[in-house]
Amino acid sequence: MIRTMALILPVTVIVALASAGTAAAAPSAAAVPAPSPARDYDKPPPGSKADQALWQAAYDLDNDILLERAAASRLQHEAKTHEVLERLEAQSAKGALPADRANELRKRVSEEWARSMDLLVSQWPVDPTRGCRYDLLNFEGVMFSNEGPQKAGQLDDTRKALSACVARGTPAVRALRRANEDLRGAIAAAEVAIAAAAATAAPPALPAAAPAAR
Amino acid sequence: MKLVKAVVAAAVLAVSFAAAAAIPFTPILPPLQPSGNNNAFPTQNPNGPTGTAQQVNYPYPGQCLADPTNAALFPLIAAKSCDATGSFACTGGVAPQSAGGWAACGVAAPFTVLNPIIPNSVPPAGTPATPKFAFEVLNPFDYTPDTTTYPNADYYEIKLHEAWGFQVAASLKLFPDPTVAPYNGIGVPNGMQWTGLTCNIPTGCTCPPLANATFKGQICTAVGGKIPAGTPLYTQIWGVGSSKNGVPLAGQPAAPWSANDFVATWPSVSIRGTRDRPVVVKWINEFPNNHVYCPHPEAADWPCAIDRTFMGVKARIDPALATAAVPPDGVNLYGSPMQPDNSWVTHLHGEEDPPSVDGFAEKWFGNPITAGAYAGVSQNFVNPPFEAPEFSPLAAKTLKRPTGNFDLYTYPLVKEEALIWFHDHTLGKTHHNVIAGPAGFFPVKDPAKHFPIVGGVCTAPTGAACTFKNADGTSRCDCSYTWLDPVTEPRVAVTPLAIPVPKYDFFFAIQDRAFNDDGSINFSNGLGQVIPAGKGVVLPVGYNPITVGANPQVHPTWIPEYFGDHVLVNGVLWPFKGVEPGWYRIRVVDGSDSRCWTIGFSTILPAPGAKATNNVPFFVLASDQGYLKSPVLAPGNQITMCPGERYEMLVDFSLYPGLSVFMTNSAPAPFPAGITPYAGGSPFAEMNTIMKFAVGTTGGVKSCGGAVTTNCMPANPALQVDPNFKDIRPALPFAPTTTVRQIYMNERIDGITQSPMGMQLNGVPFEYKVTETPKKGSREVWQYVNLTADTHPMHPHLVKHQIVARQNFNVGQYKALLCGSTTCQPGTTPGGEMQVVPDVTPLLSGGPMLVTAASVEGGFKDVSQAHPGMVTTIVADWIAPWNATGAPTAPGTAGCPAGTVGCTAPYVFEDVTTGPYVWHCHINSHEDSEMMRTSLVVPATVP
Repeated sequence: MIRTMALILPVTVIVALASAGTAAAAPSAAAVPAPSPARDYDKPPPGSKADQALWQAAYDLDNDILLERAAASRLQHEAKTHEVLERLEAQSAKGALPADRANELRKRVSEEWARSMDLLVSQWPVDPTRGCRYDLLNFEGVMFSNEGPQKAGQLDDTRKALSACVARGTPAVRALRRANEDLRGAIAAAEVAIAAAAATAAPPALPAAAPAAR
Repeated sequence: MKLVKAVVAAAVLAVSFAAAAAIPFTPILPPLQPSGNNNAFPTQNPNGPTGTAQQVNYPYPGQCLADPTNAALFPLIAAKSCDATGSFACTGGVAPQSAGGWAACGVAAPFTVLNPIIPNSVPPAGTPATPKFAFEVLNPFDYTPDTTTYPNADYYEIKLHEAWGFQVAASLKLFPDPTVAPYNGIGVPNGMQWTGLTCNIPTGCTCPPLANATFKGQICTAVGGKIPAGTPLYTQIWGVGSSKNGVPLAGQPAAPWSANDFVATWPSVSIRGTRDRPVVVKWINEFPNNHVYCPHPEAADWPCAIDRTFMGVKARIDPALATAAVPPDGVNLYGSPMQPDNSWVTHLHGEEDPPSVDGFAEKWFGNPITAGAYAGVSQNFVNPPFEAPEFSPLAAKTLKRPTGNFDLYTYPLVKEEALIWFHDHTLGKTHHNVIAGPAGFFPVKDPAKHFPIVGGVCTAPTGAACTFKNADGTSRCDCSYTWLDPVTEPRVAVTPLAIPVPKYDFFFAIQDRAFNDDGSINFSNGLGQVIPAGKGVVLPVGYNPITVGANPQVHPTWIPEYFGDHVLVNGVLWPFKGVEPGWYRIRVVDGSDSRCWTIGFSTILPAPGAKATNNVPFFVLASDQGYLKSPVLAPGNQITMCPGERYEMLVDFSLYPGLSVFMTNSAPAPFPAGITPYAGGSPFAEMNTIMKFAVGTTGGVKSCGGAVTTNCMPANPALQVDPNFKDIRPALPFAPTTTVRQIYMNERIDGITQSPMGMQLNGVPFEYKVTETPKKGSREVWQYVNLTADTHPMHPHLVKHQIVARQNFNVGQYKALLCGSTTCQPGTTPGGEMQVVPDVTPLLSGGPMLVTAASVEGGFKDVSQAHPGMVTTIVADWIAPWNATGAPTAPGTAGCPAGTVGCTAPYVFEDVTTGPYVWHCHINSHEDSEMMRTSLVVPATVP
């Protein structure tokens, strides 16, 4: 009855049938059976070294997307909240920093900030929050699966999809990493110039900059 | 094999370099495309919800501008500016956002863009930074019950209220005090708390946009009207207090929605329950009119974190439900036409209770003002009707919303000894209310399990002499947990109030938050984050604590998960707790929106960004629904806890006299495949440490070998076995008669932006007809088939359950069965039909990973972690342990509160089949985005 209902109604009640995949020894009534070790999500599933390498590349890419996007956000906010442009201008106005140098540094920070922002708010070639996680789920699902006639074909299909995703995402995250490095460099150069200018002027108009936020 | 690896790597690199020259980025967001009728916000994505759930484009009808200079951003409403008749007005002489005297009112004020507080940025030398381990965290004390109003029951009147009386509590050393050196700040005004947060931006922090001139004049004293670096930053939050037996605060200003005569804090003081003694609570909504995260809902140019594209808070309702105060289309000064932003409904998480007091998501109520404004909406039947068509009319039940600003709940408290807790559960905005603060502990004790042991002999009465009976009439008096009393029972007075709190038994709510530089909590496009350009800053889309919605073209402000970069324990940032060198019982709840914590203990303080070395062993004593069969030594000296879960630990500090022991965290966010605190460049680098225990050199509960006494603990708690532990896990493979219900979890992905659009269960939204209809008294196995990238902490209400096993499965092939290809993303829009759920059994792989009574997760749970790419199997008995056989009287009337039908002791409660429950992911941002469904227990006689 329940099984029939599951077919004609959107009710997911089924009668479970034993399958090879679920077979396991019944717990002993006399002793508490030991629990199984938990899956380690940081390690690739069993498979060929090439497949494990691909798994690792996708895993790393997913993390790198999150890390680089977070870094971009923080660098942009650092430039803003620490008022890098304003302090360059202030030092220039006081004559402690040559106007040409101040303008050059301001232009560099502004341009790198804009490039970073463009990369962040544009549509990414992969999911900017999940990266290749869904293709990875499909791939590792097949890697974990029991041996059978379908496995080789499924591995091939999911391998292609994951490789394509990694190929799309890798240059994107690399571009953002470069932009982050450039923005970080621009901010650092500006801070060095501001500090040097402040050292020659007394008293400083604004507090010295804090160490860069990570 | 090396050759193959090199080839693959080279291929990836070749493609990467080839593509690097022209990465297909596509501009999609303003200010890159400021065009059309809505320059500030893009046109809604065509993949967005349609039909009955269609979105109203931002800005919403009825909205105005607080800042006329924003007119170019909102051409459609340029002609109308906000005035002082809406949320900018003074209600009863105070601002509708707070009666604390610090908020402005009477004029439409523009919003000021805020900046984030980065935890590891430091202010100039000589000024204080947000400290770590500087403030001792309070172990919450208990409310005192009224034992006379309802005979044989404990009665409380609990008010949901903005923070109140914090400075009074801080001056009593119960919370961090900003008025003392080195801060010497002004006192914390009502409406706010101080978490220890300190301005760490060298150029100063932003003045709170909501503040009035007086408050600004007190704290915004730096150049440019900023808050000086090193200044304490106060946080507007909501809390919980008791008007009946709280700490009175005479002379406080009154607000039209509140008596303002007590202390309300984040988190709350605790309610302590006793098994078999009902608890009656009058939950009273005295929140301000407007939400912390949407202070001016009708102003299009004020940030609002309440995303009106989600259920319960949408910007359009059926015109037939409209009232004069609540137009059907757009937003009003209180929020959505569906529900006011300040609504609340209490869920006592972990309690087994009748449907009408379970905190059903649509059974919300507002404060005195919004309850009146939404009266027409409120008095309608809760929508939808909770009718399972196949069982009609037996299960056709409805719930009604309260018409006032309170609801009176009676909890049977017939459950096992356990730590449960209360929090909000309103439809579509639980995550806002939880992050805003109000929640509290509710430990339940069973005195029948703690009889004294004298001379090694249990003194528990037997037979008829034992007055503690199980539901089946059998006696349950024993001494099975007397051994814990040495760490559970001693109390110490909190000076100078002399309120006794447990001395060796700690209750810690562990949470994460991000902050803005005015002190407000940084919530996705709540305070501090505004999408429109033109204000000097554009905030990026992304996945970290300081960004706006991940898919703003579909959901303007929602993010799939919220991860803060600051750790709070009981509302204090990175606190410490002094302990004696002995045994402690440490109870923790993950009160975060989305963050899981992998908790350990270490004598070594991990540097920011370093991986903790968890070198302190500890035992796990209990989890959500009570004790394990035996305490379990935590494998690897760590456990993982996700939102909603509780764990109770036994830690022996006697090995570390005079030292510091740190509670650490190493969980990635999102879990299990996100950023760890120790990943290079992690934005969560400071999240690797939760708090510090400063171990003294004297005192403490010592180990005393095997004998149970009143003043020492067994040296090896793992040898303590609960003889009454009931293991309901079925043997594998399941018997053919086992009822197995399979549920898949899916994430809807936007085909254009490739970003998340929401979460679902079995591919249908919350309001799809009820499909989970277990029979009363039945045992059901549920299998969570997780197709998504996250671990989901799944929480079925009403029942406690046990985890049976987890097992990998072939995700792609399951999707192929479900939606036609291995890469499709299943899921329906509202109005769509649920597909037949495929049987996952043939797609399982490897062997099941068994969870047994010897596991940390082996006890009864009410939240279980369902991991991605795995099938997580749980089992539960759908029983109602309370007495439901009395003659109905008049439930809901005076003296006969909701939940009961017989109103004189012994109380008789409504039957479990009289209404709906919910089950959902306890990542609050998921549950509000439709990862929640209704369950309905049906009579056992239903065919």
